[in-house]
Amino acid sequence: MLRLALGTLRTRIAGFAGAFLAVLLAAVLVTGAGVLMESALRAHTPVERLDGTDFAVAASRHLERTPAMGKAKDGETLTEDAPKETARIPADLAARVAAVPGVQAAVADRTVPVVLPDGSTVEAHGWDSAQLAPYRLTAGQAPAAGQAVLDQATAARLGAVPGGTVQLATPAGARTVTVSGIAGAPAPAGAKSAVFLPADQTAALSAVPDRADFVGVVLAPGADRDAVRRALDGIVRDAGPQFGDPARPQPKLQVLSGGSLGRLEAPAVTGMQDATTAVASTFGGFAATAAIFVVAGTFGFSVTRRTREIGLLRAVGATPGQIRRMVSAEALLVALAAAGIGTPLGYLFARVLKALFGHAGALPPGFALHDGWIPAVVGIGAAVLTTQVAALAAAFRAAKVKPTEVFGATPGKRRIVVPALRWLFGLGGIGGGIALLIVSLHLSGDDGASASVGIVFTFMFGVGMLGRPIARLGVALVGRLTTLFGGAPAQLARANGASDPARISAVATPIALTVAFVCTVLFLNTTVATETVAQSKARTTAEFVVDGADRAGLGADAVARIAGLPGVASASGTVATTVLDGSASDATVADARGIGPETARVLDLGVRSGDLAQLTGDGTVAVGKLRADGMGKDVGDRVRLWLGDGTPVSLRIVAVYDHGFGFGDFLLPRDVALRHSTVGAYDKVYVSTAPGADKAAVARALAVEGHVLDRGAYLGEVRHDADRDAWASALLLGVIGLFTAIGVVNTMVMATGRRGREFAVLRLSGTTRRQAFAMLRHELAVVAAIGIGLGTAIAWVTLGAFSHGITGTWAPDLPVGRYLAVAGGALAITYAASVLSARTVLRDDPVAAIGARE
Amino acid sequence: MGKRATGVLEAPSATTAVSLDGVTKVYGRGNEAVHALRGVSVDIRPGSFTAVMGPSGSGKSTFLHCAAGLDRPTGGRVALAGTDIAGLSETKLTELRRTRVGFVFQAFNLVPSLTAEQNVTLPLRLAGQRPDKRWVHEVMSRVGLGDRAKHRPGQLSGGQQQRVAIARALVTRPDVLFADEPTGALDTRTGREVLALLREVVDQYGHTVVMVTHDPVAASYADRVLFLADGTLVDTLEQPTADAVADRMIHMEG
Repeated sequence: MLRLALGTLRTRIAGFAGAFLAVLLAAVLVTGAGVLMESALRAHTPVERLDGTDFAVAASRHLERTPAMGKAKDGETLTEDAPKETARIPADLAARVAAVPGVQAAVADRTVPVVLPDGSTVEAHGWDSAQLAPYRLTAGQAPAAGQAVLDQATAARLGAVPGGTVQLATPAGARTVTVSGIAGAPAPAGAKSAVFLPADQTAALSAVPDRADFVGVVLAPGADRDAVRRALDGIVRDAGPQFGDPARPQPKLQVLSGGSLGRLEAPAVTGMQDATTAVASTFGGFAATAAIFVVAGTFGFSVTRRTREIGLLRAVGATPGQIRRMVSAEALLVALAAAGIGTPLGYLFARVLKALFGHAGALPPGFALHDGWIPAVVGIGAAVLTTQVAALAAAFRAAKVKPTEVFGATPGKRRIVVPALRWLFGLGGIGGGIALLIVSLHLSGDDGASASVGIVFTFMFGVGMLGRPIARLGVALVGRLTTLFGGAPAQLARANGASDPARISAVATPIALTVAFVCTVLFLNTTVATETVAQSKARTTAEFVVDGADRAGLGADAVARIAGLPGVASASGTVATTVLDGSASDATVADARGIGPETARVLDLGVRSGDLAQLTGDGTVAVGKLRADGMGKDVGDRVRLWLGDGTPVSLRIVAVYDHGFGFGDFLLPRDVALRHSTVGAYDKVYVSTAPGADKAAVARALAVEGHVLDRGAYLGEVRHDADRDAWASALLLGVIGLFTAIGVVNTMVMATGRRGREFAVLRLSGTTRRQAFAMLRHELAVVAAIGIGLGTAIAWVTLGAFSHGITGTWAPDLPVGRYLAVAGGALAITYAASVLSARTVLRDDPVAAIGARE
Repeated sequence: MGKRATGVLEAPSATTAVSLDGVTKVYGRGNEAVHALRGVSVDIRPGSFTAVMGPSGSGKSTFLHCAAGLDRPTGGRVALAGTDIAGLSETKLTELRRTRVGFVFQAFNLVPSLTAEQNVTLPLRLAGQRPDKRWVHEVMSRVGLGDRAKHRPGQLSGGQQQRVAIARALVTRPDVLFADEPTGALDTRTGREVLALLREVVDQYGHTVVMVTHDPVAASYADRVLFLADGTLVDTLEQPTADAVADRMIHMEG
């Protein structure tokens, strides 16, 4: 069959060009995304600062079962969604670890971000952590209270010498320290900037002095590694759960060594890797799915066009199975040829992706691509698999061709019947979409967004299945309109559409799907952005916002100083953190804020019921209205959550509020938020001024503490940040556009090319070229109207549900300009494809064309 | 190939190459039903050349499709080389056709992407056999195309294409060769050559040929002519001449 398939491809290469291009593109994208993903997965943060460390005891990054929960059932796993904040472990574990024979030192390490006078942010650690690298003094001595040791490069940069002073911005405010000494470390640790403070000083700067990020272990010379490891495992086991309720899933103590120590050095990088992997896999997955649509269309047409040839093969002895295998073999050859070119290009595309991701700040610094062989295998595999899946329907249809069809017209014209299965799947898809829609009415934020994508896909599936009856209906509706003012060409166009709904649906369906998908993804972002700005506007009563992002956060002392400024009525700092909401098996991260009792004076959170003043102590929480509705909870009820670091908690709802969007669905007492976040500082301080205060003077005074924005500038930044998320969707949309263009052009060219004889008849019976083009344009108008109309309807319904989830009202935000751009783009693609295909058909001599066999 | 197919191949040589017994064929249902065949019974002797004639709509194409196992009859029984095709799966029927029957159509006989030789060996390849080079060459020579093996159909004249089709029909050493208006798309001279070739394969190599035609001259090359009208067998003529056939046809249509 391979030879037959090869022969067919050789002589009908143009017919397969669309499929080839689509698979090629898919191979490029899948391979490129694969390279990025493999690189992200392999990019173990290099071990630098902990190069001299043998073991570390730290908390795991996921929620895990505890002994109190009993034995795990078979195959049961806990959530993949990792707590976002660093889970800190009890510092007194260090003493127990130090007592293990063979351990030279056990250091409770804490990382405190500090900003140097030159504006660079570096990590400060306790001086006892120096031996983990190991750093050794090259000048001066160990730091005492009010002193610090700098590494050689940093000292040189700042021009600091022992005995001099350096100004440090810490989460607890600015500190002036005396440089007591300079330290150096062998590579690779020496490459990093480091500031060492007295060990008790880092503990004091930390929001949780009795906890440490991890305990680093340095072995004594000649110690028995395995024995120490066993002892450490024993300590971890004996210690048991360290994060509250031992009967609930939580991070678990574990012993790390070697390369895995890297994640302790840069926890944020690990988070970025997770994000990169997720985006890359979505990207590759979508490319493969989109390719299936195009390839399925191409092969479907190819089989219809070759009915006589397939009939001939059947007549001279090809079994249905052989015909099926022939089509599959064609698909295989197309896939291999496309993958052969696409896969190497994918490695180049990975560079483009890296640049794009890097530009958007989604990649850790120093991220390097790893060109392994796995992405190539995945790329080729995806190409082969998608074409096989896509050609399956065409192959089965080809196998059904009867040998008598070699004689051309079959006796007893076959009716175009939508098989029961298509109706079943189609109605199932649309019904499923509606069901999802209803469920998603109460989902907010990220859940709502991901549900929306699911809804669009479900609707798209249903519409794709019911393409023909929908096309028939559309032709009846739209065609009636165009015939009103189109003359003979319009009438012809309508008759053509009515007699061949398959052709109309073949072109209208991809347009509908594209418009639906592009609109949903695009306007999901604008809906979110608009609502974020609207709620931020309603919420922010403060006149000034001080941002501490470039100051290692703002400390309590800064807020106290700000509150004391002349003209300031009130000032309140908030803590940006996260919580995990949901069951143990599918907990998702949600934004949360730590606030204080004075926050209500600078922010109007729109409290509906309850009282934010009661948000004190460990067991309380306030929940956003829509989230509370979604959970079916109200004031006085208890909710089970995990705090940002994975600590399981059960909290009493003290208030339900409206203006949570862009701020957080959960409000926690500030102390709780501080203790369970990586950065123990305020992200922003909101300031309201007293009546008649000199606002300019207040702004100048605030600038000492951090980056000052007035209310207008702050709202502008909110809008800017909300739009920034759009880059990933823009990338995705570009790819969708490409696939659609290929699909539509390909389908149009094939569909029109098949009509050579029809056009010849028209022209021989007196239709001018102009009229033939006019007829095509009318057909095109019908196709575009159906496609764009259907796509818009799907998008509108989906966005409406999403909007309902986040705002409580059915008000999707569809900016007219951008919507018209999408619709216009779809129209342009259709028009270009139509004109292109018509040109080729009308170029032929009609007399020759009418005599030509298929 | 399965066990059953092997059994088919080893079936004892039948006394009839093709046998139709009360064959009916109805297309469509209810009011729209078209009765293409209304009970046709006929036996085709091995080594004979039979022509099937009739006005258009007489059911002669349907007769050919049913006799050749390309289509299944609505009623009655069709036996190909002694094997009843009723109850055979589509695949088994194809395998039977592949080994027992050869086809020549009016047009669109060849796969455009394959060379003449590849077209000829196609049935063998489909049957999973390695073509015997000498045999293929001999068949190609018999139809006078020994030197055109590497040409594609597009590079061959209409008559040459029909010769390739005949060679392909013969390459499996079939029990019957069915031809559907084999000269319909050819000019008169080329048509005569193709008919002479069909006559030759019957006389010299002992093949069985069943040919549908509406041309009395073509029919005169046959040993026997079957006349179909309105789905029934109305007449037969042994050792026909062109004039006698034309005469019968005029009477039938009148």
